[in-house]
Amino acid sequence: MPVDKTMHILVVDDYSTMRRIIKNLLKQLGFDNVEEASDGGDAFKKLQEKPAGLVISDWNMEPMTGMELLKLVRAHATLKDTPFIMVTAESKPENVIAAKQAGVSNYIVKPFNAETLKTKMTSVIGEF
Amino acid sequence: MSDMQSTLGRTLLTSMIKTREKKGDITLQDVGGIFINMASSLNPSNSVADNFVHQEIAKLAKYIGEAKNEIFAIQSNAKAEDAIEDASMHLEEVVKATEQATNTIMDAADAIQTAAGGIGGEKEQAIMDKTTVIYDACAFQDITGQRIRKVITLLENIEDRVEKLNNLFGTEAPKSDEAAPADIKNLDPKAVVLPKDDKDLLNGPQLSGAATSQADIDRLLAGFG
Repeated sequence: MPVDKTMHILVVDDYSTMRRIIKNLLKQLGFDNVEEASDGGDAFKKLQEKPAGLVISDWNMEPMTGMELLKLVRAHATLKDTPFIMVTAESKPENVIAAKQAGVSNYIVKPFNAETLKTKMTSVIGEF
Repeated sequence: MSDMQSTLGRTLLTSMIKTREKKGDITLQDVGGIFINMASSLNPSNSVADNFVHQEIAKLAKYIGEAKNEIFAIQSNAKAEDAIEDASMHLEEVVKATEQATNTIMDAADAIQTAAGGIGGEKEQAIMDKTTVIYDACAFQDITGQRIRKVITLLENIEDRVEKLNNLFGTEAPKSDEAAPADIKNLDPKAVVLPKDDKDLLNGPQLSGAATSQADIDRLLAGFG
């Protein structure tokens, strides 16, 4: 089944520049229904109000990190199956393992390009 | 100079010469040791002057001991020299990264100007104006680069001073208890022990030489089956 490009995507990053870059890349890939959140807490609140077809989140944010958001999402009755891609500069093996154990769908290390984002999104939500 | 002061001066000098002959060098730690020996050889009950000198030597020895402990504390808290070197390297990476990004932006602006060259009229002018604004904004790299390099120089100076203090006090940095990084290519993801608190996983970007590549991360994720 082809991916619905009108799906709601939530981009979570404390840097507005990075949110803008990811949003722009998503637009290039044909995804226009993109919402932004500035930290894990803001994102979780938005997800509860309006579930997303995909969450693309940074890790290192204040006050709530991307890891905490991931754990909250995976523990939530209705949000637990939300595809979740971590996009972060934290690239130590321990980080990848911890994120995987917490249920991350895929992991992108910054800096990244449009091709990497497309590949990881495809592996998570399917071909588009 | 009183007889007692001359005697003390000679004793101090002789002890320092002997130490130097024995070790080839003399550190503040050695001087502190000599003071302590001298203080214990004096009898405070002998005279007021003896008592005064005894107290002054004891104060000096205490001061040297405290200074030495402070140097140790700096090292054990932050492994000062390593931390300063690490901070300098991170700042150098910032300069390199902004330089690369700025060049990419300017290359793109250059290409836009070339492509817009044949359009003509107001549209071409508007494009040229905006690309000029991009070029202007890219000047930030030069300014921030210079400022960051100033901080790097300052950090290097501090590192140099800390090293000199270490040599002066004869202290040696405690050995790091940090485990050597595992070879990610042969890493068993199920065997890795993670810290109890997620906050301990936040290290920020790794230096380019030490950073894990996207390909290695993909391999690691695939290892989970």
